[in-house]
Amino acid sequence: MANSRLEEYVQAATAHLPESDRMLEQREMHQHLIAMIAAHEELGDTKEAATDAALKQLGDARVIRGELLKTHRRAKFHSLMRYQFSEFWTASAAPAAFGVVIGGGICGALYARKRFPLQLGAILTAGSVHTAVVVGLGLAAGQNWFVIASLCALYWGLFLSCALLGFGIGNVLLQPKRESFTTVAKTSNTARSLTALASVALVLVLGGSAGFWQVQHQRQQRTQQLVEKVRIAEAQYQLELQKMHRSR
Amino acid sequence: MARDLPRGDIPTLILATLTEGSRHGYAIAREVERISKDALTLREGSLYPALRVLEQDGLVTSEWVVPPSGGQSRRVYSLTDEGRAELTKRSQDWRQYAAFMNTILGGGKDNGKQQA
Repeated sequence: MANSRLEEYVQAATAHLPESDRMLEQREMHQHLIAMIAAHEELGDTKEAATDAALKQLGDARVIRGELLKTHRRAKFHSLMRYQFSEFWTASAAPAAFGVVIGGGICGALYARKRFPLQLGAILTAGSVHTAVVVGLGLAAGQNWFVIASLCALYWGLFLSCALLGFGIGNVLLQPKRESFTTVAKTSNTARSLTALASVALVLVLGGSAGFWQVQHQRQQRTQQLVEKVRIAEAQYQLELQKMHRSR
Repeated sequence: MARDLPRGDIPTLILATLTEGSRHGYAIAREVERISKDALTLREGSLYPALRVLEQDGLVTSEWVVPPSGGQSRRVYSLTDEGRAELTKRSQDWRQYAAFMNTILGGGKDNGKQQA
């Protein structure tokens, strides 16, 4: 009788929680109640009176359920944001790297030839959006400023390095024709626009594919790990339950 | 006279009970009663949501441990370094607040003399 009341109580207090969390919460609460009942019995209460006192001391099951659900929602939000942050970073790392290497290189080389490229605008805009998203998601995921600033600094540092490298290569190897700059710039605006679009498209397609593949791979690994964890927790709980029933 | 413990104070008291070592939920509840000399009563169901929040914030960690005497494994909570630092900060804040309230309400030595 007392046992069924305990079961009902822990079921009510942990209803609507995710399966794996619910089992662990039930187990812990059950142990707490058993210890409280034993303490009351030691003081001379009957089993029923001790159970009453223990349930009263733990509090209203509906209130506990509400508080537990709130904390689990909070945890879910935080882990979701952390997941989004890491996933976004993984997905954007590849396009960012392509953008940095190709974009920075092209920018530097063209700047050395006095052709201030359209790509620069496109890539700087993409870089700024990237930075804004890293900062926004990072803050929402509870990352500290050091991590966020490091990621942004890494991105822009790499970009500038590649641009400088490209500038050097363009200046030395491509033998800039400074005198023809004005003429070339006037006649090749369409070509430059097309080149800019093509290079941005190349960056997006190559980088995006690599990023997508990485995210899919990580998702599969995480799902497998989660399934394994739940299976182990379930098996442990069943074992404990069997032991408890045998000891009674 | 026993007073109900305000919900906002539960996490701080949990941190305080864990300074002397790891404990499971039931032991934390008993320790709160012991250190408050039964002046505070804890609605013990509130303990677990508060512990989850502390865990999420990285202030405590937990693991399932089989007691040395055998039997069922129990979830045991320990204070992390961040938890220890947070407790120090909260203690300082609390002392400042108490001193402030004491000053406003005319407590402390002066109040004692007046009453005498």
